[in-house]
Amino acid sequence: MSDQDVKSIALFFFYAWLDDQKATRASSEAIEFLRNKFKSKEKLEGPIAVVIATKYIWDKHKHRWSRGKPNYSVDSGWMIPDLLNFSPWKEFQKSSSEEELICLIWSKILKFEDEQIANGLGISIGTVRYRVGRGLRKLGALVQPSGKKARAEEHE
Amino acid sequence: MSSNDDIPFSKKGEREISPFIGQELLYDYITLQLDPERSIAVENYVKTNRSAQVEIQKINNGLTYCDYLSEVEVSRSLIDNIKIPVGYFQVLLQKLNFQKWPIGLKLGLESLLVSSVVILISIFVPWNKILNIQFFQKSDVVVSEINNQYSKEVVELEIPKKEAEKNESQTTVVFEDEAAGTGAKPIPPAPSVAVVSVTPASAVATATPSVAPVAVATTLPLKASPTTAPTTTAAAVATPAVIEKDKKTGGFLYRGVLKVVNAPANSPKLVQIVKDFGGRKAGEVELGWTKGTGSYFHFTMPEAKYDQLQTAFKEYGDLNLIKEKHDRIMPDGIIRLIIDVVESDKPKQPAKLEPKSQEDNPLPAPEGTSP
Repeated sequence: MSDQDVKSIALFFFYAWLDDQKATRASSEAIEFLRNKFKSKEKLEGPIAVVIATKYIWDKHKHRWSRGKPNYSVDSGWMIPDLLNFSPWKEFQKSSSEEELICLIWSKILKFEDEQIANGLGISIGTVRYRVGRGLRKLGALVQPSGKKARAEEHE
Repeated sequence: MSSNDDIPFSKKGEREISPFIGQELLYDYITLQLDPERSIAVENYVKTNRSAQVEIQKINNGLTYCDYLSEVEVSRSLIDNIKIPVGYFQVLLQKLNFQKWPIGLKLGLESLLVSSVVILISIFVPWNKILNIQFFQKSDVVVSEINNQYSKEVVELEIPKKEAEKNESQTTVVFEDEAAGTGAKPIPPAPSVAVVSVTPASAVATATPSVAPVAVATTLPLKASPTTAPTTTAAAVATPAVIEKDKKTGGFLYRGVLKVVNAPANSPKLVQIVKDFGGRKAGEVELGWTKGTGSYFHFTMPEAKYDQLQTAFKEYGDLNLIKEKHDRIMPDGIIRLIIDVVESDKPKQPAKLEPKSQEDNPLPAPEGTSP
């Protein structure tokens, strides 16, 4: 498994829970899942494997690990740009639906193709686009008037 | 037909996009996923619909914000940390947030844990058994095989009467390990008969279940010769019921006191008597171990020699022996005795102190002393 995949997994869980320890533990479990799942089969890497593993671990912990309780620090390994305002994302992470949240992370933050997401989840591409579009509208409503301006205002 | 006239087709015969469809196609329109015809239709819809313009603005805001979010990086150390497999103990520590606890609390818990472990060890370790282990003491363990499978068959032994009488005195009982030295052959394990003791009067060989067939050897010839005048004797069979009864009653121990005059001087003689009757020390101390002014005898010997031992000991003083029950079960035919030899207040009559002649002496001649 490449470092890029590990980074994608870590970022997924970081944005999904906004918690250092949960993200680290879930990432380790996802990597362990991929190691065991595909031990005897053909080596599976890349976005589809990341989608499968992260979805599995997400489903495993989503009922126990509640969202909306951010607990992270910059010195724990997440290199967050100074000017980035996390408030819209915190609100979105707390209020959005599960499908919109995880599809938006895969598609617009990790930059996976819609087809790769659809293959990993076993759903149609149209369903993925629908979920991403809904998520973007909710997130955009929280970023007023634009993400760039919001970041600048927060800095001021 | 009038219904077809109500459908708002365009001049080219194309149907305009409804607000519902237009709202759903906005994301695809922004991300350029639509075909040119659909794209123009959505564009026309957006131009005339204010809410669609607001939605497009939201989507663009979201896309821009997600671009900023994607700039977050993960440090190399964190990636390496994630690659390490997670153990249960690490998960527990993470759940408990152990790293964030105060140092005093951590030290207190650790000391409590260590002290608890020490207390548990001190409670549950069997110290008595450990202290009683004697690593350097040599212990003799005698292992004897006992065959308790007795058949119900009646064994008829044909023993010439005269020969039996002649050999009565020659019947010796020896230990199996001694048989090798003396040349006496131990009886092979016969499941039906334990030992044969011949009584001249009745000439009946009775099986004594208390004597182990392996541990006891006899020089009595057990020839079943049809030519000689046979005296048919039936060997009583030790049935399993009798054996079970003996097992349930447990073992026995002969305990007593022998009062002798001048005990230190007579003690070696008593030791020799015990050895001559096939006795061997049973405890940790040697036979005749000096105990104050007296001596101590703890030994095992063949049960057949018990009466002769009593007779021999009584030559030296007053002997009182009591048969007690004991948990330890000895092999069949072997008894265990503990005799304290103490100094007697009453002087023994000189006539009884020493046997007059070899014939009067009930002891067999010691090995190597016979002419």
